[in-house]
Amino acid sequence: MPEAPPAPLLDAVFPFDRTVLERLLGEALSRGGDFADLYFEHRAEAGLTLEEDLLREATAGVVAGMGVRVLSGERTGYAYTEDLVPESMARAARTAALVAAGTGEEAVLGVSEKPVKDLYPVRRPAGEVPLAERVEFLRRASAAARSHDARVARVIVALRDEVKTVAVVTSDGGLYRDRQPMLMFRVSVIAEEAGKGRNVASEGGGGRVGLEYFEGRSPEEIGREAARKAVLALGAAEAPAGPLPVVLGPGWSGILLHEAVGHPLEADFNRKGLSRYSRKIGQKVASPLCTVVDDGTVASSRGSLNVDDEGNPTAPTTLIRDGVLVGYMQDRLSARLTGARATGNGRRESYAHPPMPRMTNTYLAAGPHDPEEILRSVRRGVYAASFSGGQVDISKGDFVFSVTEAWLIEDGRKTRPLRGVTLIGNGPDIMNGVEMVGNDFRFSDGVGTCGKNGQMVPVGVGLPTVKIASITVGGTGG
Amino acid sequence: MDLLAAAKEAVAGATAAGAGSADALALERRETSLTIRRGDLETSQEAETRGVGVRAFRGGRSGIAYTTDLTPESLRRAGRQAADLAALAGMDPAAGLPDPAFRGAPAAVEGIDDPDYESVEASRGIAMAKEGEAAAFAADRRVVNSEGTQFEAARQRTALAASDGFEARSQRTRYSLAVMALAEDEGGALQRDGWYTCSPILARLDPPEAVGREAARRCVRRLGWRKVETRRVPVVFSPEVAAAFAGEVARACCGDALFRGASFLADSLGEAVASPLLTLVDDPLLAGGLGSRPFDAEGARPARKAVLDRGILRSFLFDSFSLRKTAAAFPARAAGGTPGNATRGLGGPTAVGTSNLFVEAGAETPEAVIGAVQDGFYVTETLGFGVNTATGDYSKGAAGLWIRDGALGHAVQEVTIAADLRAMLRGVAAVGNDLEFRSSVSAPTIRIAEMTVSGN
Repeated sequence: MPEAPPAPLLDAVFPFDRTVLERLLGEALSRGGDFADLYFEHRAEAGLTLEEDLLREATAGVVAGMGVRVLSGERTGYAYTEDLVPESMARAARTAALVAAGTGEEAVLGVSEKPVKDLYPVRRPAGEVPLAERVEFLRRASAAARSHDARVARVIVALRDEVKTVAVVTSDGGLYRDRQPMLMFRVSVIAEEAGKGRNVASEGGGGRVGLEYFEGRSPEEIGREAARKAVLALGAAEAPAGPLPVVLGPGWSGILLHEAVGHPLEADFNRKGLSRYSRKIGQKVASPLCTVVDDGTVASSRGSLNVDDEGNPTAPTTLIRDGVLVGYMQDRLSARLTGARATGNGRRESYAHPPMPRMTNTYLAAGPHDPEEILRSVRRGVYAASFSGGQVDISKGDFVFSVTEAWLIEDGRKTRPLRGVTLIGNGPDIMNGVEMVGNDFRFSDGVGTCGKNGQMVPVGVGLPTVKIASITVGGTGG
Repeated sequence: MDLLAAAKEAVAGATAAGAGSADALALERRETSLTIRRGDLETSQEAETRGVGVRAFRGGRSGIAYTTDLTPESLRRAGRQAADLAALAGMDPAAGLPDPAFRGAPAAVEGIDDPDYESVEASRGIAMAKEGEAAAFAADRRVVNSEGTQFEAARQRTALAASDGFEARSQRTRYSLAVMALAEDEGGALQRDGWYTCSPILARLDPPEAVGREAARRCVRRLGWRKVETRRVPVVFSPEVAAAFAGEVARACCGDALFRGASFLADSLGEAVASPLLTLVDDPLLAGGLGSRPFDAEGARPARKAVLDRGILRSFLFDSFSLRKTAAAFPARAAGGTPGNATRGLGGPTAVGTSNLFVEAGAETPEAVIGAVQDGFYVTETLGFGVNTATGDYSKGAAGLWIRDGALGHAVQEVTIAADLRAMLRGVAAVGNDLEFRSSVSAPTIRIAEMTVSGN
């Protein structure tokens, strides 16, 4: 075992030496249990909101705390505190320990720091740039949205950045530290036109990046895109009702994948027999055109992590290969209980939450078809370009997703924009109904947030243009 | 540190740094959460969390800072930081503390804090959860699995202090028990559904056995479902779905949406926008209410508001900021408006939100509401985010039971329901007498004359 670095083992944010950490782990396992970990988190956040070209909101905050988890068989004990002094932390450890019913025979291994990856170096941390300069990015987006179209009535631009410093300390002797930046930029536009009513649309971007992000995609581009979407749906036609072929545009449409097969392939649901995909490894679950991967190592992506929230390295994990189910997304608990390998998908919202299997960046790999050819193959259908969210029922595999930019396809061409509409389908049916997969793979640009059991985590999704034989379209038109 | 003292410390930090006015909200929450699955404890969580959020104003400029570190130095620093941010923000005359006319002493609201909270042992929660889950398994042999039964107990303390001398504190408790069951048909297809009970007072929860039995009933009735043909039919919303609909309508009546012009109801104040059968109320002072609040998040006097009174749009919901903004830009929309509907997280500005929102009970039994339908859809669950309160578009995934000749028949899934919200409001054709306050948003069974059900 390598020599421990000099005390304090953690940094200035968490000024604790290894004696404190090892004692806390000892308290956590004082009634037995298979495993314990400590999760330290310090989050510095700042937010700016520009509305009517006025800096309406400037917020800043610091949130810090630590959580203690104890695993005992299938049981999880969890407690946390924001009072980062040894007595309070020890109390949390003893509370978490109550879930185990034995005696403390478990030895805690000596803690030493383990290396982690460096997937998101930041060149220009937003927090280090003067406020006036940061506001300029918001103003540029706002001006571009306004000048895009006279029907733009109101523009709201928000920039939020956070730096999360975390340390995971495990009872098998690991100490993993990470610094996780996050930038989120969003432009919301309200468009109005006499006789055609009003509409709201938004466009965003960001990731685990600094302000250098805007060198690749300008605030103007994001502002114009939000304005385009808001104006487009003014006076749009009613969406049709009933089953129709649907073409998903590249990028954001990956949300369909996230709902249809992502959640159902999280290991906890499958271990408990709650998922439509339980006990289906090795079986054909999708069209042979489908290869689905969850990859927490995509550089600077919103869903990426150098190390997951329980100390396991992130990795690309193939879930479905050429239509055949090959694996689940695992956290430590499910991996141990099912004899699988941890895949680096153990994530949590914050120190206030125990980890569970979660997606990172989930995508459908590129296929052989030209996107134009895909569109041309549809006589009458719906082209879905942009989404506001989705939801899935794991046990049945039924999911919905809400399309905010949709077009009617007639004779192989996008002809008319449609009003916002919900699509509903069944995951396995939809995945088997994938008829064409484009060669234009794209990741979404950094705004996805996924909720599970009340915990929200940032995720990425990606998809090329995809044609699905039939999805029920929830409009009111004929 | 005492919560009110913590809030005052943060306010003092802001005014000392040059803020003309400031307020701070301090929260402390303790929570126990226990999950039972298949008869055994699965997770046991204990939380004790707190924090302070401070708003500082310099004229019409505002800044916000927050911290989870309740030491005096850290609270002062947060106050100073909010004041510094305010110096950089834009000038908006609408920003600021509530007008003195809208201040008021905190109201006395009965039945929202359980005096026995401290003496409730985790073992009691575990026993209730086990009993609830066991009842679900016992109720029907087709119930084959459990997603877990959760018992939660929480107490939250809140303190609000402002530089104009306003100060208030409140304390509330909340208990819940939720059973989530899975049923399997002969073909091995799974269905999932559940039931819950929730109350500020432990003794007022429904018996665990009843919750488990109801979870099983709801789950099993989904078996043997089929899709239906696309068509326009009368649609009956179960109380849960009707409550969600009430929440969606209320969102269009919030001040935030009014001054931004993002509500389909923005210019309809005083008009008959809904069926005369529909009365929609927000009541922050409801005794025993899960959404009750003795004072709102900025210390404005809370009051009962009839948003819809027999179909007439009577009141909008406001916080001070949105009321001033709306009054400046669209005086007609703010006519007669009062604040009192502010909500607030620690790290953000106030926003407008409902407290106890409910649709007043009607005269008909739920059986009669359903019984009048020859061919229609009884909706027990909606899915997704397909409601746009700016445009009035409504399109959601739905599940439920088909109504044939006035009686509930086979289960229906994988369909959507869609209509225009204006038409839905006008089309409310019956309101049931089965209103129960199970959550902070409640409604009885409601029938809507016609919606598009999209299926095969």
